[in-house]
Amino acid sequence: MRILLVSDLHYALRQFDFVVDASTDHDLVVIAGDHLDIGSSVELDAQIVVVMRYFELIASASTVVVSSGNHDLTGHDANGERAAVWLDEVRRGGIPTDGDSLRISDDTLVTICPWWDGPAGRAAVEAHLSADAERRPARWIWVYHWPPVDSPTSWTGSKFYGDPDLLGWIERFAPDIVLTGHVHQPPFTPAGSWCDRIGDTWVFNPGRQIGAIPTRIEIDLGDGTASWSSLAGQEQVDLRVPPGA
Amino acid sequence: MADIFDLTDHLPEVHLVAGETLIAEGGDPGAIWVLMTGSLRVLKNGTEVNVVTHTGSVFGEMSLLLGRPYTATVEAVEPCVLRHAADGAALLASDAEMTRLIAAGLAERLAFVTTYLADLKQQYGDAPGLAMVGDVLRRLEQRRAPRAVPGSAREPDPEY
Repeated sequence: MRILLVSDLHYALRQFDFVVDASTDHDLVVIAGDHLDIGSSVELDAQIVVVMRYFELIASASTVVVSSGNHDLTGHDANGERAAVWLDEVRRGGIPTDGDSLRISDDTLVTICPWWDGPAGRAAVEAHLSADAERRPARWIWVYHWPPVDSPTSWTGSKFYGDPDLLGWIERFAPDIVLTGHVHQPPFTPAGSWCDRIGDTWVFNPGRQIGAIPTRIEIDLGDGTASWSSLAGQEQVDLRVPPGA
Repeated sequence: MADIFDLTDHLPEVHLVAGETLIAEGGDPGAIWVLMTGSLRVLKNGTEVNVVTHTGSVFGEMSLLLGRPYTATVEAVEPCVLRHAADGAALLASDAEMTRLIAAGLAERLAFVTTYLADLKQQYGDAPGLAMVGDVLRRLEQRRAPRAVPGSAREPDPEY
């Protein structure tokens, strides 16, 4: 299986174009949040329509899952907490998103976590992870926008800017792979990185760059490799290396 | 300030079953409807362009104001209840606040379109993504949803 991870496209339409073109070469496309740009001159409601159309184009060529990021929150959920309510439309269109689980073949489960914004949302994420832990197959992948604290994948260049809850859940449930975004700089900074190992769990964050081509991570589970590509160059890791090696 | 539910509480209700047509593309305008419960599918040339679930959404107003045939078919996805003004022109003529609300909704959708197009020119030039413009414009024209308001309570002042 070949997985393409992008994140934080922030309504950069040429970068969305790139993902559409690249989707034919991958079995699974993961867009890990911050699809919208709250600083753009384009009305959010217009951005939503455009982004949903991109999701459809990608879904026509590959399997795609999308999670929310903090830029994607547009209203309140049933608990009165901020949520990316427009993603309900995406789900109705057949694309797995916040709160969904996707089984791919018999050996892979993808758990898609929202940007939760209050105690009810946090509890729902934990319940979702707990439920999927009970049925985890050989390979368990999470999609979660905010990378864990104390990880080079959340290093800004001057501090860790990560999610302590995600770190706790990784330590508790030990998924195989966690796909994140949110913090734009880690791959480009000394002491930061696009990948990390927490126990047996691989954590990835592609970062963000300006221009027509997004930073991206391509994971080839068949070859056991993960590679990061950006204007600054390309790096690769061997996923089969034991932890601590 | 009165909302659309207050302003239309005197109107009779119509009930649709799933699959029933509210508006037929090409038909003559005249009426206005306000969605109270349920959801409606909007189709143009037989292709679904939108599903409206937002209560308070208004239907028929654009064709009424422009005096043109309906530009889309609207049908019930599930059982729906709508308030019905058979003479939409008379309703708008008699209620300035109702007219203002409808105008505000139309102005909002126009802003979606114009900001989208203005930004496209800056971002794109001649790139392939322009191929979706026609489709996006059709969807924006028909879009009715709660207004998107950004912001996170958990990270109210985010660094990213």
